[in-house]
Amino acid sequence: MLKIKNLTAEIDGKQIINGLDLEVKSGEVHAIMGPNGAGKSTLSYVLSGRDGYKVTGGTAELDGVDLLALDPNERAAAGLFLAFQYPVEIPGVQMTNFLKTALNSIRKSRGESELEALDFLKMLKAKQKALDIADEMLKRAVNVGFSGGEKKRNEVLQMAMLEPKFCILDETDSGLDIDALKIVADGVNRLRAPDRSFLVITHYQRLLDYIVPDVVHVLAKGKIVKSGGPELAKELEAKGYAEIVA
Amino acid sequence: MPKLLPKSLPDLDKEHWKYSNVNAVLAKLELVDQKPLWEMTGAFEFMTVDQEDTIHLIIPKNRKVDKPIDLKLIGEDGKNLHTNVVIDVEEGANVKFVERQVGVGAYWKNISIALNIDANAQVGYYRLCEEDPFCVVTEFMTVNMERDARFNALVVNGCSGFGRNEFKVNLNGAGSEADLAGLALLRGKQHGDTTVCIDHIAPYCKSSQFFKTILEDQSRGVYQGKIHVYKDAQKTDGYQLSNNLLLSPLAEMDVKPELEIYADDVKCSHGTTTGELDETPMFYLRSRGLNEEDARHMLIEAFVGEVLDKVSDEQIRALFDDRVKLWLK
Repeated sequence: MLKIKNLTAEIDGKQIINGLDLEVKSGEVHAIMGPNGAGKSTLSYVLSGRDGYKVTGGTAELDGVDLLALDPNERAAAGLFLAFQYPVEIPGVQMTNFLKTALNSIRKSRGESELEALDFLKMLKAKQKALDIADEMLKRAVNVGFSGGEKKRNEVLQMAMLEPKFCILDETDSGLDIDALKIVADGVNRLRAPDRSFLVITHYQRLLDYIVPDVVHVLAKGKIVKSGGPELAKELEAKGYAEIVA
Repeated sequence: MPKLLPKSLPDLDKEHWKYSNVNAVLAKLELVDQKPLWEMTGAFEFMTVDQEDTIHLIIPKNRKVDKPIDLKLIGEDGKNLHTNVVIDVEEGANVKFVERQVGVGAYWKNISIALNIDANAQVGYYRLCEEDPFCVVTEFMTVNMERDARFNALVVNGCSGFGRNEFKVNLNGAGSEADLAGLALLRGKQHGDTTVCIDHIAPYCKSSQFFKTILEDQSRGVYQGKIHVYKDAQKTDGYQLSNNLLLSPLAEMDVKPELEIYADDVKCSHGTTTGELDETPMFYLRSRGLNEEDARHMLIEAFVGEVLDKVSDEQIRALFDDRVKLWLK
């Protein structure tokens, strides 16, 4: 599914990713943990193609497609999805319109026909219910006036609607209380499938009690320094990063 | 009604301000005077005087006019057109106006509107333009508001080559409220100036100015907005916001927000932003599959939509939506 080889990247001339290797197979959930400044969010932006994040070496392929050669929207069409750490407020753009435009953009670039309004609403209705998203929330502008929990649920809703094959969750648990976390984690778990993989970036082991990963990686100074099973996350929680990172 | 003459127009000396030099632009045009050209629908029962260059309307006391009065002001190549409009809205009346600016060729259209809103009366005033990019349009609107009067205005400008659109609102009566919003859509070498002065003369009045500009190519936008609170105008609530979007490195926006306050128990705010489209929402949309053009489009429509949302009348809103869509292509 996702293959990253010897990736290096910089922001404003400062190298943040230092020769990162990572392979995530179909259907797997990998977690990336690491101290502040390790390059966790940078990795998510580099993979999704944000301006200002410059790749200086290495490769990243999604099912054989060279991601690094694509525009952000082409990466989305190729099946990549980033759930933002800080979902962006867009005043004046209504949620429903946003979701419909996004979905149809992706369908179009895949050569599929656009969804009719009625079919779209049916699909939306089914997915919003599972995430406890009220109709009223979909009438508002994108993320404007949303609580922290609503913003994160909204990210998962978008993920559910766009049906990507590779999802990056960038600190989706930050700022959530345990109830909100459960709703979000349930939403993610429902999307787990043999042909869909996840990269879960997190600061806290807590999330991994609810979204149980197949592999846990420790990211430090822009590369993966240790990998293991879910028990590695527990070890990190108990001992901190100092031992591993040093 | 005094004739409107070029010598009273704003220029570099008069405003001590470098913005809109109307005389310099007019000097480049060769124009001959002509009677004003206009068409109006839905209003003949209210017309009282039809002088050579004046349209005078009286909306009688407590009368609610259901359909908007449609006033079309027409420009013609090579002509100077000076139009005076006087509208008296009597106590308790309720009326909406749609003013359309149209024309073809190089002309100067100079319009003066005096709108007198008596106690408890309500007026909606909506201006749309489909002018020629070679024309010069100057429009000056004075609004006198008495006790508890309401005034809502929305103007969409930016089709003339050189336009100056000026509002002077006098909140004479306690409890009166004026809500002004506008959108200037500029491209090519267009120049669009919006100048607003709101005088809070009486206490308990409320005013709002919400103006946005989108600038492409080498266009130039101007916004000068002032809230002037008199000594006796306690409990004034004044709001002013100007957001401007630069879509080209060669476009220029000049903004001058002003507060002049002599009362001591008031709430006044002003703010202004001028910048390019934000990278962050752009990336957010693109990461959801929208290509660059669609994402830009969506953000620009959203920028515009916040102003258009001020129109509650669905039919009038549709007119503005169409106009804006046409501009956005």
